Amino acid sequence: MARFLRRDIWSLDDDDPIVVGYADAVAAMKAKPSRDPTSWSYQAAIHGSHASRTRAAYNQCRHGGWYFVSWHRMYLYFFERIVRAEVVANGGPDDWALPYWNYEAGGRANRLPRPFRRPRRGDGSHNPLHVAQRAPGINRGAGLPPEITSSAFALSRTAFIGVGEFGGGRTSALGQFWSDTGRLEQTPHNDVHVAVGGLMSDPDTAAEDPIFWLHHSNIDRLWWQWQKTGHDPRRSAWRDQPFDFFDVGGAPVTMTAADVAHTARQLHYTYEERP
Amino acid sequence: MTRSWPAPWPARSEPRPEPPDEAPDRELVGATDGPVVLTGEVQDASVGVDRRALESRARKGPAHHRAYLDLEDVDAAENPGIVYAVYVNLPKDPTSAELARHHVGNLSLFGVERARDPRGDAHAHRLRVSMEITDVLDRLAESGEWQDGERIDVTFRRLELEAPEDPPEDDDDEAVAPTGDAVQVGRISVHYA
Repeated sequence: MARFLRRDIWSLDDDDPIVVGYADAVAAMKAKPSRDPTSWSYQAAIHGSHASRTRAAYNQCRHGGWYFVSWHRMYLYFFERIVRAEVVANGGPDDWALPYWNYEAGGRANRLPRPFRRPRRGDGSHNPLHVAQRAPGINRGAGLPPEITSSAFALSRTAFIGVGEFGGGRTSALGQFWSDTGRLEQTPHNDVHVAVGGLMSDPDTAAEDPIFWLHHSNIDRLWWQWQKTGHDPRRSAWRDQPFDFFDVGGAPVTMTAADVAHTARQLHYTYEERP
Repeated sequence: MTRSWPAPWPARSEPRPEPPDEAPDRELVGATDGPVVLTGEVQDASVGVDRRALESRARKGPAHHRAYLDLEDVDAAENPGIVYAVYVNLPKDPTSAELARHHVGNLSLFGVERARDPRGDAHAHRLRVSMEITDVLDRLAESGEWQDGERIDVTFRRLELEAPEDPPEDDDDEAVAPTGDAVQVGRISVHYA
């Protein structure tokens, strides 16, 4: 049963507790020492880091192949739990869930959500969701073109496995980047990373931008949507491959794709469906 | 009436066979002779399709009626920060409707630095993007816009952001402009499955 509902960021007011809670949690995580696995910098480094001195579970992201969607679902799941703990510690809602940025929803949805654009919040304080290093115009609400935001090509794929199919080709679990990219990973995933630009355009800095997590929440939503009719790989090499993360409190944890196939039943979240 | 692709390409059979989780094997039927370099401007390329390969596939019957366009060995010194739209058989001076009708996918280079310089035991490599073009070729064949079965034209066009809705602010100076680095597409190939 789903207890947590991931909502469309554009359906939320700028002062919604989900938005404010995220901003406050990001600030709290940025204030933690970098050696703390629940700190902002450590969580980002699990995806990728330019740091020459690495720590446990740094540089783990999986791209260019069939582990892309499952690895990122696990990554978001534990990140969301860590953020929720911070939200609750700050007096926010205990059912807080990561919003998603559905840039193809029409209207202004193809523009960076307002709470991420300005360096200061309404009360003049620093805005933890703002990053100056984005492509020119993004922080002023430049729109992503529909060719970049569309999930139509990805959702039209009926097979999961294969380069250019929904989820990507079979690759080794070792190594971060392969060249058997799936259709969802290319568009909208890779294209939105490049179009937002700056930190987001480099996998070793991308997760430092708070919008990264809402972009990936949307990518995960698209996989959730595709799963209603599509079939995930049945091979053990995909289902049972373990990956390492950290949970609330910094406890090391391991997870497999078989653990995350059903978001509501196994991970207790689902997505807001809007017309 | 549904027209078949230019002979000897077979007409589509219905329903299209589909394995439950893995795509069928593909066979290379054509490729560019050399690399294509993208520098932000509109760039065209042509892929010659080998007639003997087509005839071989055609003999297997209409169940084998799927075409894919692959951009192989894609490389750049660093991510140029540009997303290119990819079109098949795009007319000259296309209208927005023609752009939509001929659009088959995009090319961007997220992660190219890490592919060139991998960590651990992974080998350095270039990127590859693959897109099915069956539906576009079907539509073009039906409307008589694609009558040369031995050549497929490919066009790359840079995608631009829509105009910002907010006025300029002080921190705009810190924005990171795309490097615009040249992209080399080592080979453009067409596969049939």
